[in-house]
Amino acid sequence: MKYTLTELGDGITKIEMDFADEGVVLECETVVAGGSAEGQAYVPVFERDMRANFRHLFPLPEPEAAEGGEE
Amino acid sequence: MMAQKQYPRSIPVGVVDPVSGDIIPLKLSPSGSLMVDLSEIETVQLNIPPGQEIPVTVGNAEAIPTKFLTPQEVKNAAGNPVDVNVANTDPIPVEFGSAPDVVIPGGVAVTNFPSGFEVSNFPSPLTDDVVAVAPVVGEKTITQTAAALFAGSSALANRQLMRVRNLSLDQQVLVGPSTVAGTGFPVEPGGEYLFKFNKAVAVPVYAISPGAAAKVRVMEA
Repeated sequence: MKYTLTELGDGITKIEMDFADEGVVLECETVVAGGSAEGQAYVPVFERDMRANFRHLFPLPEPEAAEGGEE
Repeated sequence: MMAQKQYPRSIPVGVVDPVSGDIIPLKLSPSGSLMVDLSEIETVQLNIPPGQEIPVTVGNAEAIPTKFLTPQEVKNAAGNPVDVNVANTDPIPVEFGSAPDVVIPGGVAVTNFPSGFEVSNFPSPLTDDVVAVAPVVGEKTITQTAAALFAGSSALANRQLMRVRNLSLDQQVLVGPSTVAGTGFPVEPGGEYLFKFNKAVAVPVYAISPGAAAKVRVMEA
């Protein structure tokens, strides 16, 4: 995931987030009140929400092989 | 023999201009009557008894500029308002010094009212309760950072409705402008709020939690 923060002025910061580096076509965008610090603080929250809302776009994790193997 | 005094055969006769004091001689019209050239008199005063009407013929080729004392009334020399009846066949352009208040007792009857109007600069359609685009539903985490509220990956374009339900059981969230931290509208735990938008105007709505992080369910349409 990659993101950029852009201060728009008037105390607003835009967050642009892109999951293309993970092979997922999903671009997200939001704005937060405050500067880069507030934007940076909100990035992990926004990322979790986007991954949850668009979970169908992300590949399922590989199931771990059960220990013990076949009898 | 006593000499007889000689008198001239013709004596000039005139009228006195009340303003200048000059004597304006009378002239003989082609029909033989005496007349006064009013163009030589600056002021003409007619002593007409109140209520008596006199016919006046104005032979000017061009319009006569008329200036009323006030837009509302005409006064006589004594300062009393008098009625003026204008019977022109053509409209008389009237120019007021300032926009007067016009009061018409009984209203105005319009007889040539058009059957319809065509408005070309009608404003953009406003929000109504009709969902015109596919709704988007999602969850957002509301923290102590005021962030834009929407359901999908960004605010829905041309959105008309946004419904927000606070999924928290114990945490109030505030919604409102970017200054929501101090001016937000509360959505109580389990409560809902419905926003209606003019789809032609993108208006961001922010949410913040005054305490612990809270989940909200959002639907945009």
